[in-house]
Amino acid sequence: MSGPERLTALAGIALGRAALRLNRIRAEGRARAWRDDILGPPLRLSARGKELVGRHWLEGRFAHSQGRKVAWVTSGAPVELLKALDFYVVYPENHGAICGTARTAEGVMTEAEAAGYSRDLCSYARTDIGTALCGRTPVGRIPRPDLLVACTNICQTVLFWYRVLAEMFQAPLLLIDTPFLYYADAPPHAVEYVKRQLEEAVPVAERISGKRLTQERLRQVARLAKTASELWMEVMQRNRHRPAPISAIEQFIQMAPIVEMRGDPQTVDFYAALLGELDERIARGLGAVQRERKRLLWDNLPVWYRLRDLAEILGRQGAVLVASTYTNAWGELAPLIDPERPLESAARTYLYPILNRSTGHKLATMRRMLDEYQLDGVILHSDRSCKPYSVGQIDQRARLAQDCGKPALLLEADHNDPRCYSEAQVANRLAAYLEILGT
Amino acid sequence: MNAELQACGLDVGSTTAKIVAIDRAGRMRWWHLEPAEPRVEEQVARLIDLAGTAGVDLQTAPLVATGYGRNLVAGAARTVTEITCHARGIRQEFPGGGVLVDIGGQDSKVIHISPQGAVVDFAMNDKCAAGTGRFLENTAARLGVALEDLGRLTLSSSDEVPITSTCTVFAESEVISLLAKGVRLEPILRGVHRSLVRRLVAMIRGIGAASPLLLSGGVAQNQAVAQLLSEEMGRPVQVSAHPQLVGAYGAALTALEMRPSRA
Amino acid sequence: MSGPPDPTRGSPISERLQYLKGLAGKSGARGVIFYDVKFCEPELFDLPQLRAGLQAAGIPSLTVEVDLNDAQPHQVLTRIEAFVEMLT
Repeated sequence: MSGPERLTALAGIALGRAALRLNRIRAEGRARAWRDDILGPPLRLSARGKELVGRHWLEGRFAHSQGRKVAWVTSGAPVELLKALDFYVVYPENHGAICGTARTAEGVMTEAEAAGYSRDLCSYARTDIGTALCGRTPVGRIPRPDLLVACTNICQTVLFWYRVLAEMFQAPLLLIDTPFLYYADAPPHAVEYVKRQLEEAVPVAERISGKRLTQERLRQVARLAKTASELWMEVMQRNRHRPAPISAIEQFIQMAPIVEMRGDPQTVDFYAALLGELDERIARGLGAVQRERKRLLWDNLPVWYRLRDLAEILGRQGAVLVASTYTNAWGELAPLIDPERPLESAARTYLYPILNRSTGHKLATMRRMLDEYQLDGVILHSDRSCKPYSVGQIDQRARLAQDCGKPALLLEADHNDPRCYSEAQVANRLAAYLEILGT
Repeated sequence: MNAELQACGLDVGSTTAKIVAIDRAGRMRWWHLEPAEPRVEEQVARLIDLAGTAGVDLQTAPLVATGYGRNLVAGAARTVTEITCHARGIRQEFPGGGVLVDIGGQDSKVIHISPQGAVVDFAMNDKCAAGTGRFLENTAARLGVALEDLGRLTLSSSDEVPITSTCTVFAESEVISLLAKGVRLEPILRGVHRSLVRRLVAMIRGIGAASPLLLSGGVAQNQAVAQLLSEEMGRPVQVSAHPQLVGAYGAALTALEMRPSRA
Repeated sequence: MSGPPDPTRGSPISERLQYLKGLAGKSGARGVIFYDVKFCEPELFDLPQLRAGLQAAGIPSLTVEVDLNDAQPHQVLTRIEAFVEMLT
């Protein structure tokens, strides 16, 4: 990288950070002046979280001009080894969610569809491919990948999606194949298989990054990842209190760092601070909604483009989403991370995400959460373009009602495609469900 | 018999049936259009008789059948799909190629025609009524608006209310609830038309947007569709002078080309 | 495990494209019909780049979407017929 290029990058970053700081200060001001009849006061740290994520994407804009290599990875990818090699890491799924909340997803998805990508494909994939085709993004600019890493522990779709990206960007694709876990424990041969793939990935990643992986750095990243995941788990567990200090919908927003900045020290600091604020709210009896009467579980991905609406429809009747299997996924694996044996423990950690396990396991998880958080019901988001997360929900719904006596609603929508969302249908189903709950 | 009538085209669509007779220069000399009937073979026979009384001699003037019911036309010299026939028919009016958007009663198609007149690529929406005339018909009926007034009324307002339902049937409910809330008719109509046009735009972009943009089919007579499509695509749109007959006309031209001599 | 390049077994898209172009050349095929089952991701993700590659090589293609166990709807037949007419 040339001297002038580096200088421009530094200037760009400085300016960008200043702009983000200004936005945060303004947002904090607005939060203080907040008055609402339905929802509780917003988190003070919400603005800081937004700034944190903004700074992360800002860094990405200048990653190449600062001499760093860039990796695009799936949400369940074993990212620690990449961070230890100083890759700048892009999560297309997170970017997709940003487009979803910013309501720009439809625009870029139509670009992908015009190029021939079917509307039956995952809306994250369409958002990502569409963005790659037209370059329009709310985060400014996304750096091209020098390396692609796809791990099948969340779904098989990523296999085909990342192959398209590999072709588009002519970038090497590292595939980590994690066998599906039908039973409670990962069989030793599965752990060994994943471990060998991780070991084989190291020289490839080293070659592309131009750096050597040191155990010291890898352990440090694993330590940071573990601590952040533990803190995130604590954040979610604060919702055992009544009223729940932070709704699952707010958690959907605040989970960005644990997914896309896991292993960074700022992530640890952020969640530690968030925990502090939640404890303050608990002490003051402040909840996510003004009148908490019913506590609910959300299963599946969020409906990114309707978060606020859903919070209000539920909140108006005193219902609040207290927990979700989705946010839980990024905390529950913390115990498996062993910073002393980072690669070995990664082989296990990355086999155990909820989406890599049986539908029976998800049902058991939901039942456990019903008890742990003292919940009154479950909303199962039947996500049109996420079959792995949605398959089995019909049976899970029946079993939750039958075995636990908790009413569960199947709500059809899509995580990122607003064209698959019917206002009237959703409002109707929620209204009927809330009546059943007895709000 | 009228010896001038040298070839015949019959387009048996799902909403309307059209028959066209042309002369040796390929000019349209006689045509007839009527709503499609469930008993296709009977209607076809009647239409052919009608052509006979208009002077078409099927012994000498070949007939090519196209459209949904094309395989039910006894006496057809050949059957050709509506894609090829529409491309042939529109080429007579607009030589030089382009993208034809044909919006029928129950289906819509987009055909990319090369400057030499060949079909390069095509897309059909024949699974879902949104994006077809049926969508407009249903909503017009619900709103108590005559079909022929739709375009004018739609364009009379610059306000627009988005219709979020992608399904024709649910869009109807949405329209009713908007009316119940007191929203004015014209902005609703604009939203309905916008939905239709956006479906078309998705199909057009999937084909690759060449120029010029040509319009045919019953719905092409709706000036609001033409205008909104032009807006969305950022290009002028040219409407066929005989929008509903393009398929039958193309079939007739194909029949003419089958004649051994042009004497 | 030999056989033609196959998206369900990890074949890169470019390999599959090369194979298709080779097949088309050897057999003298005038076009390619992608006969896809609805929702089949391995196919649907490969399609756009395959079709673009074929088009660049002067080979037109058609996609047809069907359900595994249902009878052929007439719309599918019309598309195939129209494609054949386009090629002849």
